[in-house]
Amino acid sequence: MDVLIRELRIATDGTPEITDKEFSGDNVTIGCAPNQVIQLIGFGIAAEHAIINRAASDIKITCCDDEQITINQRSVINATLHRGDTIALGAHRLRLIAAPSGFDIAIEVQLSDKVDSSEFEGAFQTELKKTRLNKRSTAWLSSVIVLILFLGIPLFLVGVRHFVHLPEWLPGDRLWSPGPLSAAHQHAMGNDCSSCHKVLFQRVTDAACTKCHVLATDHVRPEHLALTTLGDKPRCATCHREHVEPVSRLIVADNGMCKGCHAKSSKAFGTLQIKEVDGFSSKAHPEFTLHLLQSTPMKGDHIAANAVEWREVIASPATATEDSHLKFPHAVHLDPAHVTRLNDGKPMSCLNCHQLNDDGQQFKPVTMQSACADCHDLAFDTTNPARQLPHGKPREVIQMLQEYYAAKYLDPTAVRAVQVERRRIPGRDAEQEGCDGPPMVCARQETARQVEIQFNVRGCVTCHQVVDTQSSELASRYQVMPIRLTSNYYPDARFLHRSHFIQGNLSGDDACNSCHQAKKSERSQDVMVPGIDHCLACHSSRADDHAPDSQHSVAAAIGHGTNIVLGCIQCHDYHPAQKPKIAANAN
Amino acid sequence: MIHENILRYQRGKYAWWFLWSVLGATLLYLTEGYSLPASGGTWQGYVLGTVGSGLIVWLALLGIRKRRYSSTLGTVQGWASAHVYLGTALFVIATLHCAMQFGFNVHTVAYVLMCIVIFSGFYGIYVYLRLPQRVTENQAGGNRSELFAELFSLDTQLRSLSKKTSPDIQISVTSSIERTAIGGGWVAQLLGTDESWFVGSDSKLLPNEDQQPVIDFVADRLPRADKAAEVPMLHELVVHLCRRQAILRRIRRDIRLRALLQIWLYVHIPMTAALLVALVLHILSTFFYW
Amino acid sequence: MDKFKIAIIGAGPAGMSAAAHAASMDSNAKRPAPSYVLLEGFNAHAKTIQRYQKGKHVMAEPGFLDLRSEIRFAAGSREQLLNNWSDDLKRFSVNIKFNADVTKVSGTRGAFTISTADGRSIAAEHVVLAIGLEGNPRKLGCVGEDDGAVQYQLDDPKEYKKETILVVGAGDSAIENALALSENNTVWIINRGKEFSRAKEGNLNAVVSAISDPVSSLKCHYEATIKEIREGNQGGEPWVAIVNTPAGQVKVPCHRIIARLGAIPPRKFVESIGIKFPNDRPDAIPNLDSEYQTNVPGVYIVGALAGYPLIKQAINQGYDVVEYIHGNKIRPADHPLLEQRLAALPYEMDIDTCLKQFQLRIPMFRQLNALAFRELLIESEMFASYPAGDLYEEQSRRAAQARAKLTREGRSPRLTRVIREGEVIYSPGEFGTSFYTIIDGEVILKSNDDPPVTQRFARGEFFGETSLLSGRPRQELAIAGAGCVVVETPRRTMIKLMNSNEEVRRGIEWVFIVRELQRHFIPTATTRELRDVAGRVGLRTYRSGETIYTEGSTGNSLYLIRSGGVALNRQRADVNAMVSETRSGELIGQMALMGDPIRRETAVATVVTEVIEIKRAEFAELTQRADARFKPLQTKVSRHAIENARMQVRPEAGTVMSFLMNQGLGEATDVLIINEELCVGCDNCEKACAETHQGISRLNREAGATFANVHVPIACRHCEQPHCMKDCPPNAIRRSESGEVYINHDTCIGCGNCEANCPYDVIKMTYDAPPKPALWSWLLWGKGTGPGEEPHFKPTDAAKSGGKKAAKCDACVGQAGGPACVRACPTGAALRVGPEQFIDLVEERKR
Repeated sequence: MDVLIRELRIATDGTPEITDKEFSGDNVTIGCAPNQVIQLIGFGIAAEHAIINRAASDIKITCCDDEQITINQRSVINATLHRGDTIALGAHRLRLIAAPSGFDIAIEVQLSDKVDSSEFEGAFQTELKKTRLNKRSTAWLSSVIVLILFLGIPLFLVGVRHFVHLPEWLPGDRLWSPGPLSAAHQHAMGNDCSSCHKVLFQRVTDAACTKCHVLATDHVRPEHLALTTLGDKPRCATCHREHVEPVSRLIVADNGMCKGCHAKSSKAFGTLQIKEVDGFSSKAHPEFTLHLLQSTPMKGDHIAANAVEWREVIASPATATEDSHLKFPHAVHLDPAHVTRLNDGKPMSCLNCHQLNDDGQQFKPVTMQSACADCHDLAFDTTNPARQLPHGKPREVIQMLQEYYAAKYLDPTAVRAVQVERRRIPGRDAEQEGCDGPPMVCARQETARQVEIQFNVRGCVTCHQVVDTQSSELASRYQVMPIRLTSNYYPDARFLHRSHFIQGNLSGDDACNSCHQAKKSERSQDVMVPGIDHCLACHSSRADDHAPDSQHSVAAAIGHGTNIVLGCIQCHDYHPAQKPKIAANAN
Repeated sequence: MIHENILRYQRGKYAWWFLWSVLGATLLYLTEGYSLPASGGTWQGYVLGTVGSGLIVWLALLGIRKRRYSSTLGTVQGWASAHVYLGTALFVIATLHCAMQFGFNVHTVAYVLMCIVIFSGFYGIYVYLRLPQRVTENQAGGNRSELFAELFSLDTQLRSLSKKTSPDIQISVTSSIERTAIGGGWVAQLLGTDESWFVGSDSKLLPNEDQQPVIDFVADRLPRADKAAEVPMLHELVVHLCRRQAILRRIRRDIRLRALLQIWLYVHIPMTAALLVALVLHILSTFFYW
Repeated sequence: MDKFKIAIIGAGPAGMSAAAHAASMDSNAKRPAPSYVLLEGFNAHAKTIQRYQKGKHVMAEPGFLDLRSEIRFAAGSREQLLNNWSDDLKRFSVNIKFNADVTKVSGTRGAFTISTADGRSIAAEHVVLAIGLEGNPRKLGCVGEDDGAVQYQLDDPKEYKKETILVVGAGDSAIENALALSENNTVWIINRGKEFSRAKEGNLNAVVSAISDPVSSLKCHYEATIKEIREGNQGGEPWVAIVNTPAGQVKVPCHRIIARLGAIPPRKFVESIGIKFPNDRPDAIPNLDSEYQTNVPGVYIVGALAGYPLIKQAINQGYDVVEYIHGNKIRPADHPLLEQRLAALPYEMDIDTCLKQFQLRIPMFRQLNALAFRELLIESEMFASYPAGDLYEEQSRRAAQARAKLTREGRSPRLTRVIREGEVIYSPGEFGTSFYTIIDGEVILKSNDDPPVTQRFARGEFFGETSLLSGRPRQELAIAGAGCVVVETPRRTMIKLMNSNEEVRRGIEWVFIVRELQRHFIPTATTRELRDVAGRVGLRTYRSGETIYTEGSTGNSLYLIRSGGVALNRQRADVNAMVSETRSGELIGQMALMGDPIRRETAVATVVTEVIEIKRAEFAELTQRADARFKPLQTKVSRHAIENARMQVRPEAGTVMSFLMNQGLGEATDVLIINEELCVGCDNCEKACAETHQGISRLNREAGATFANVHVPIACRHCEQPHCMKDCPPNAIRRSESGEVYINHDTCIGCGNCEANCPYDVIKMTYDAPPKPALWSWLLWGKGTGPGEEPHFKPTDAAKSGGKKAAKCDACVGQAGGPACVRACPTGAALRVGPEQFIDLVEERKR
């Protein structure tokens, strides 16, 4: 469109001075910048203030962002102009006048002379605060974004997840998680925070843990815990921290916590006295204490002579002896000169009798069946070796002998055994040769003799301790003492035998012997369980302190080097699976 | 001069605060991580966290103190000096607080925002200490509004002078005035770009960077002026245009320097606001799921 | 020729009041014809006030003085005032003659002849001069200048457009008018001289560049005068001026001619009547008796010309003078004030005898006429000391009661202060410029040096003149002695007194010299011993930039700077570097009398400076005495030598220092210096200023001069002798004891004198700013323009009606923590320094 711009200055005498300017273009720009079609300088006039253009038939004026103009004393942001409208801009006046022929619009600009040099700069954007940058709005924007992303969305999604299942990749309250979960937990409950964090602003309760982890008792009884800083019922989370790196630290491997209570014996907890443990070394750790079984015979009439009661007693490994009522000289059995294996004639090895439990810690209980029976059978009649006495049931043994000999004497054919060729009176065998009385008498005689032999000469008595009550009553004359073997001398500690089957260059029996002096043990009373110094030969709580006696056999055998570091929990469980039994059931 | 800059304020008094606080924080951190792994959750972590958040709030309060003009709580320079040093300390403290454990979560977001704020602050110190000198040198005694006043008077003189020359020269000069760009958007201000144009030979619109083209255009005419009477005018024009060029250069440099001087605040302050929100969320969410 | 009892010349407030009172007396006495006439040269009443800008708010100071007149006067806008008065003039049908420009008064009491410009003459028995100080513009003195082409002032340049205008004159007013007019008109300056030598720097540059600019419409005829003004020919400009130029006569057609040739001060006219002035000082006041009568019997002077700048005073005097002329010995309006003033004194006598006693007792007061003395007492403070105890309690209780009573009556009480004996009147370092006269009892002065020298002053003596004359802080400790009664006179009153009374001036200056000599040379000497030496030393005044002595010359005198400041420069390899800057109270050039006659520096006055010159003979006389204090003198000399040497080896520091001096810091006591190395232009200083000072910033950071990173922004530097305080009618500008010069916003009448007087443009006249929203609402929601002065703020109607008031930096006097601008600077760029720190300022930082 073609525009006539008529600049008008009114002199004091009222004579108007007019200068006409022609412009052809779509937009008549108004502002204080020099590139504006109509340049008006003054306070309150922006560089680009407003635009006059034609929409269809009528003429519009539109202000630029957050500017405004006054048309006929009304301040507006945009308007449709009619002839005669007066636009006030600062001190200047614009008027829409009748357009002469050849023009679409004619604007009369009445310029004011008030130009203050301080306003010139206003023609340009010369300061950052005049640009689109704005601290306040940016601040609000970023704050709100943070608020929505990390509070709004999580809350919303948590709410929604109650009702519908949402895909995993949606963030949700995961955004609040301060760190990774240990793999197991991550696997178990994924990103469902509420599985542990039940109530907002409430610490995770043990219930959340015990739901899965059925816990045995702590190694300390609650009443004792109560005396510690942990309190009688410490939260699982006090020691087991999730969401921290490295996740491996979920279980406290560090000695610190243990030491917290054990390092100072002065830290007596009420009545509870504790030994000072400040690590694992000759100085820092007390000598181990063996847990043994000790029997004492029960006294009083009507009480069997072999009746004993067992007590658990504490002893030092150096001096301890233990009577399990079993007769078993390890040395003899391990000496090939005396004993070799039946099948291959090789000397006996520890593992022939001692078989490791599946847990790799303790051994399966040693039984007659599993360990002795191969060599020690219970035949009593050489002529009839197939007949074996029952083990572990003295009463049945006597009955069996009575029946056996009764039958034998009453009907010799019934028990015809291997013919042993020898000279004799025809129609009689070996026993009958020793007895000329009637069969029942002979049978009784023979039974008595056999019982005597079995219980007192070379049967049970080889391994068992038998009490001869001198009772006329055959059945109740001999009493066999019961056997209890200790399966775990150190119930409060954990020792992995399996991982000790190889120690440096020792293996097999040598490995066992490096700790258990079986080859030298003549008496079954010997307790061949080593004390702390054995462990210290290789282990310590600090890598750099050396075994107390580096001449130690084991150490010598496996060679020196830095210690294999042990933390408390390598041997001691804080949460033992169950209260350990020390005794294996014997039979 | 007896003036002290913020780093030297009272012989760098707050530099010592910085040292001690960092030292303390580090020692505290070293006691961490034995029985329990180091993290914001241990008591040391809580201590560091509390100190850190306290610091953040206090640092943000500078914006208030700066405008509490009648306050006698120290001087603003003192605050600014402490702000700088303790803000730097905050970086260490917060890093120790989180024990370098990061992830995609609100906590790390708060940390990142904090870092943005702190490092934008470092830039701020740099320019605050370096640029004012250059601004003064550039202004050479005349402040910006004086420069603009001179520019404006040059424009009017050029307009009236060019009236007395041949039309195309007049158009080129007037257009060069009208199409002179100064400042502009924040990018333009920071880079000091010049988007000026002018109407050159056979009325084409040509770029007029640094006003050199229009000067050349007018100067070219000197030897081949239509009328002898035009020559002195052309001379005058060239002189004025060169003066104008010089003024424009100074104005542009001034704008650019001031923009560089201020731009960091457009990061520093909004991010501080965001940081405060993030901080609240960080604390809140920590205890949401305690 | 008609004859009157009283002829009142000048229809200003005083004149109108006098005439109105005379009129009412006539009507009471039922006289048929008026016994008086009011003659006004202008065509309207109150010319001066007519010239105020439109809507200007006029205050009714002093508040404590009651109005006593027929005509009304209360604080209000210029228009109200003028309307009230024209009503009053009608109401009393005052016999006023306008355009009666009095040219001559002759005759004696009872038979005066007054002739006016229009040739008529009036006979009168008494003449009352109420012509004020404005004076009449100097005329062109050419043919046809009264035909209407010529005007002598320009109210609004915007009134005239597209005219050809001749501006005659080369002064600032002429230049300013010409520049303003040249925006819309073609302007010729007619300059008698070869250049604009009288003009201010800024005006000079502006006008010269405008004239040389081919485009501008301002032209000038140098060495030119207007010979004649004729009617222009039809259709063209209405007038044609015929101008004599070196090139011969030129005809300049024009629309109007504006003559800016300055004014003829009324003094000439006054003296033509035969009235004597005490001295030649421009601001001297003619001697008057207690009834405003001059040395010419029957001729009275009232109002500004009599030395009373305030409207209310003038009005009262108009009333009083008529009463006196009618022979009624009425008590002046200030009588009750004096009663209060003297209430708590230990005397039982009525005011007038009391005043007489005082004048008899005190030699200095003897010099004054009763009127000036009353004036002095009213404007002064008084205090009386009593021995601590019942007497003191009793007195102070009574004073308290009186004060309470007056405040109940709504008057501002100006009572005698009751103090204990031994109370401190002022202590060293305090900025106090008031002057103390002992009426009774004694006052003890302890000098500030060790061992302190104690002097006892008794009745009739005065003290505190050092600060009065030099503007520097108090040097000694003043303690109220036994039963002392002291008049404490504010500086401006004292200055007025000294200007109007030569004896007083000499007395004070002489004592000043004596005390300075004591201070510097012989503290123990008595006044009598120093009498004649003091008589012989000379007092010299140097304009800013004038040289006192030059390097290399042989000198045989030292100078004691009484007021102002002196820069010592050394010429080294054609660099003239300043090596030190000395202030009032210091000695310069003493080396000349202490072994080295060759001057080592050139001494240049940095501001208007008064020095006491002590020649060799006097110096010898002073220093030969046994009790002469020679040692401090010597130590000072060597210390200066070091300082100067240090400055000399760093000429750049010298240049910075001389830059500071060029900024007029030679007279500054507390100036804001911005280090451009640190300033980031955040304007927090300005914001702080505005926020702590009713939303108006008193400092302009960006403006002001810069040199080598030292920027001196436009902000008050609290001069030793503040120019702004020179002429403040309501005495609203004060100096606090700690030195801050501040304006009392409530008593300021917005006259703009201080703005005009300040050479450093640090005072601005402005409306009160509207209140702003709280900080948080801006911080969070961006309400309002944020902290700091709101640009282009719209004053509230209340503020508008209050009128523009003067605003300037008060160095945050009374605000905890000191200047807000400094406290608010985040980068430490802004510092306020005193002169003693200038050296450190230019000193490069150690390490």
